[in-house]
Amino acid sequence: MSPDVEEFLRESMKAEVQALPMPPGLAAAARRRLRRRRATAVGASVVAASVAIGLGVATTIGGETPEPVATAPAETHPLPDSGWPGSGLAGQARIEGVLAATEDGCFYLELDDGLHPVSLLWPQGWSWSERPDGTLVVLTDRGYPVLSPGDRIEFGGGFTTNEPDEPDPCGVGARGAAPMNSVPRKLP
Amino acid sequence: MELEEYVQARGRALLGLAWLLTGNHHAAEDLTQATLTKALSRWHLVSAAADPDAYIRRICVNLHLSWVRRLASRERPTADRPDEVATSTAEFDAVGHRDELGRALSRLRPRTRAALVLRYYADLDDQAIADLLGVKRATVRSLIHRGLHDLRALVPEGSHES
Repeated sequence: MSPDVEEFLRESMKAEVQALPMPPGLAAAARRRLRRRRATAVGASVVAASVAIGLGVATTIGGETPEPVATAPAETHPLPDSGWPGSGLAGQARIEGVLAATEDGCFYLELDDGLHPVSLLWPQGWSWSERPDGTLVVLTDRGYPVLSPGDRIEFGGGFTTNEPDEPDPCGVGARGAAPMNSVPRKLP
Repeated sequence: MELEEYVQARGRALLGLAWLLTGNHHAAEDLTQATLTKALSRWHLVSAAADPDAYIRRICVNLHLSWVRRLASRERPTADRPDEVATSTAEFDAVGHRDELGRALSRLRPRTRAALVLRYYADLDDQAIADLLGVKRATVRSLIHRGLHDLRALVPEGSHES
């Protein structure tokens, strides 16, 4: 392999990283996250212990009822579900478009024909959340953030309908819904 | 060394590694935070390590590959293979080159991309990459060779010539 490609790669990666905006408070965020995780783990242990001691006996530690210690995780909201469980072949039409969302977290797809958007039905267990900076993010069934409004995506699905009188849950003039029968992929 | 000192000194490098591995800014921030959280949970080991940076880099790469494995188990194979991607001879400015590179990297398999990032961004040698990825040195050489080959197909001709 010629050295010019390797040099290009080396320089480009370093230049790219230099241009990245540095998020503030990384260390503080890590400390908060660890506290949350430990608190949740302690909370789970308390629940497990109370079940073990169980059967209607009040759990007490040193004679006092323990305070709840778990901190609520970042709030997530379920997305409308296509019924696809997350595995198996779709075998249906490939859909491509730009992901968009209303401010209250209703996600829809802008198609390239520019005529009208379509509503989206997601794989089972997927959800969305709002980041501290106000941006929305789509999470997989395992909570991994994968997509945001503005991302170009593709998936296997197909339109359930294209009728103008179908429900438009986002209120954006959508016609029909595209159920996802594959994991949506972010396109370059 | 405290976590804050580490982030002050090496935070950008870690975020950069996460960005190059994930190709997505939000995912990179999450991966960076998850890495720091895991490192913090065993900070006595990190700070006592001969090379704390290498220790944290290993956490970052392993976390990323484990997340990718979980996702990949349900993903469809992509329709386009790198050698089928159309290339253009249009001229690109420096930003265009980098954008093209990011797109091209995102099309590589995660382990291949990780090998390229560790070689050309983190400047690690074959043995260090092999240790980090848990593979043999020959596998690292093969990953890098194949990755460079695929990148040549994905990055338009002329982009890497200054």
